[in-house]
Amino acid sequence: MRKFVAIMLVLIMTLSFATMAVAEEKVELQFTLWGTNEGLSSVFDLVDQYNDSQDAIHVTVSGVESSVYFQKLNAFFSSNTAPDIIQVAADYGNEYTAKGVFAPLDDFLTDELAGTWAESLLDSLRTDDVLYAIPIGVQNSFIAYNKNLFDEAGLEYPTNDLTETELLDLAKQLTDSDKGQYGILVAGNVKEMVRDMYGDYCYDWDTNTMTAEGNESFKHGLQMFYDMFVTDKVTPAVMSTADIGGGFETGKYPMAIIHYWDIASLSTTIGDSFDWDIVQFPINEEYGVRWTSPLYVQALSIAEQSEHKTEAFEFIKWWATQTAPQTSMADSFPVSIGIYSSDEYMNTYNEGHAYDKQVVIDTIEEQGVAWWNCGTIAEINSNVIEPAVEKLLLQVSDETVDETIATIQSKGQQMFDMSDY
Amino acid sequence: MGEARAKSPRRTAGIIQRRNDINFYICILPWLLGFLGFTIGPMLYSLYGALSKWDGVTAPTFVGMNNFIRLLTFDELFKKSLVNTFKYVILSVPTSVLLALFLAFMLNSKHKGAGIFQVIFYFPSVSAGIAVYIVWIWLFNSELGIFNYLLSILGISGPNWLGDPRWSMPAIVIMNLTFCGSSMLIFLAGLKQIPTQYYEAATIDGASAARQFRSITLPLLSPTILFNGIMAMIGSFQIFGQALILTEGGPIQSTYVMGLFIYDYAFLYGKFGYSCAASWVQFVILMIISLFVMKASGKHVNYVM
Repeated sequence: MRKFVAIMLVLIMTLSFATMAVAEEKVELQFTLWGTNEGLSSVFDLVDQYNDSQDAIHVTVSGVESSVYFQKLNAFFSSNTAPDIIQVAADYGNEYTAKGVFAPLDDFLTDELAGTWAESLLDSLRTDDVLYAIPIGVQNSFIAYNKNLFDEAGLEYPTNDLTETELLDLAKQLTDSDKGQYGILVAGNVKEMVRDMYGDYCYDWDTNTMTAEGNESFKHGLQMFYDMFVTDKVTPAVMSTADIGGGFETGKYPMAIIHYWDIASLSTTIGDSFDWDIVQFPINEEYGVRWTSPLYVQALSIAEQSEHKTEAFEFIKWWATQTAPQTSMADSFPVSIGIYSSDEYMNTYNEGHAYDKQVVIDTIEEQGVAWWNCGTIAEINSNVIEPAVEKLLLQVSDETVDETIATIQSKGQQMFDMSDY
Repeated sequence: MGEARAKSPRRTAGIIQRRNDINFYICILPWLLGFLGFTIGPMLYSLYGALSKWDGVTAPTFVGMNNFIRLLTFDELFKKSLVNTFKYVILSVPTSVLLALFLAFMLNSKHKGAGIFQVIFYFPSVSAGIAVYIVWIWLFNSELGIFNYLLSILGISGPNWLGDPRWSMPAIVIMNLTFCGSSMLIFLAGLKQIPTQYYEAATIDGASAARQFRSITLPLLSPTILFNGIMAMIGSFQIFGQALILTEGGPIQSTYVMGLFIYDYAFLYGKFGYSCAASWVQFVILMIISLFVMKASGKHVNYVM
């Protein structure tokens, strides 16, 4: 009996070691991302699919609540326990790159692979010409218009050839103070848009210099919004649609600046109550350019300390070129040109409202710009530009556009000059 | 021989005392370890962080008092957040304590249904804060909110509560009243501890209800008032979620409080050292005010029942 038990034990141990040896052959990768329960659940399923299809790589995914993602990232990096693959967003990835925590990915990016994505997307993920992440989803901005209100007013729907002057004229024509109707809803979008309306930022993050003063296009943008909010009153003077009982979905606004992430909820909320579509931002005749749209790019980076960068990139490549569009991760627009330009994708709306998807694509490819919102730039955005713009447009004081620009220039430069602390 | 072996009463008492001491420390050891590891340890590290240039990712570099000097001399936003926090404390502490006292006083009388009202008033305190804040966003809505609807019935055009810098802070103070349930329960417990004989004697002596409240209730409730006041003050100084969810510190930074300052500088701007310094300034202010309140209220608080 003892002999039998001993043999069985030896057999079990041998089998266990053999299994461990097989398991050890696979490279184990850790992958961390943020998301909602629903979004993360679909990610977990896809990672399972990936693992089933792989003989050499096994990915373990962990989701983090988005509100504490920064805390989590800092804890990872400060304790040297960063996962191999990390989700980042273009607006703050650069700050971490500057600290050397992400691996440069240029060597992995072949010309063929680079052609998978619009150049604007890759540009938004470069710091000092070094690529630190691969895009997996993107959000951007455009104008939504209410066809019913245009029909009622007897006006033609806006087109992608719309000029800035024509947009402002339309907004004035559609504003009816007796009905309490404003021509266009801008709200808090102005705070981000005004920084770079025409491709000429009010600061230069490479040289830590404010370029608000003497920047004609910056002044033009600010003056235009001042006219919309204060002089012509074609838009409600609020910074949040929550203050006025909702936004475009209420059916009260003929036009509104919206983002891609609004589309799903607009489809559900509006339903059949009115017909609507989207159109690109207008073209400024003087500068010959459209209003820019910040690209809210979600991407995947590899930790510098990862010992399996090649395998990690293999997973990212799989994810970014084949998988991301199938997930509901933050309802982002797919980034792969091959996917978003296919007939199948262009004609699929998943029972949502059928809108002009080409507008989203053109906005990404033609007018999408990088934006930063971390470190000193975030300080300037939040503590200098936003309050100054709010103060001007909400008419809390009698400050003029020129005075607002002077405030932004001096306070912003002061922050740049004293940023080393 | 037997007597020599017998332990003296003093020695026996000493052994028992020592055994009690050991048992005491064994019992509090888990808490003590947790307190040292998770409270004192991080506090000391944050003090080191406050004296360092630290981005939260790379190792801190010691810079002495630089962060404190910058905070207290140059930083306008810190001053603004400090002023906003004080405004909130000054407005919210008396209002919430007085409302809690009033509710407790009303519920202390033996009316039918008093228990149900206790539950109703306490309910927001046990609900998820975020959910309550979101409900208040709708209540304050300038076009669809109930407050402006009620004001419109009176012919008053209501303000844009959360979007107008003049009204955003009062709006948060009003919302804070929802959470006075905990203080109310403590007041209620305090009221129930006051012997009824005092009131009976006062009634026989012809004291009015107001006089009874002033001469019996208030003095005997003073330790509870002090406790609730200090707890409300500490809670108000730590305001964060309300301002973040309702206004994000705006409009025009009119509700930008120290909690938001500390959070933004650590996690959005990557200035952990600076954020630690701000936390320590807040801690010191809070400690000084608490000590001052306790000292100043010493002769007004009656601990004898």
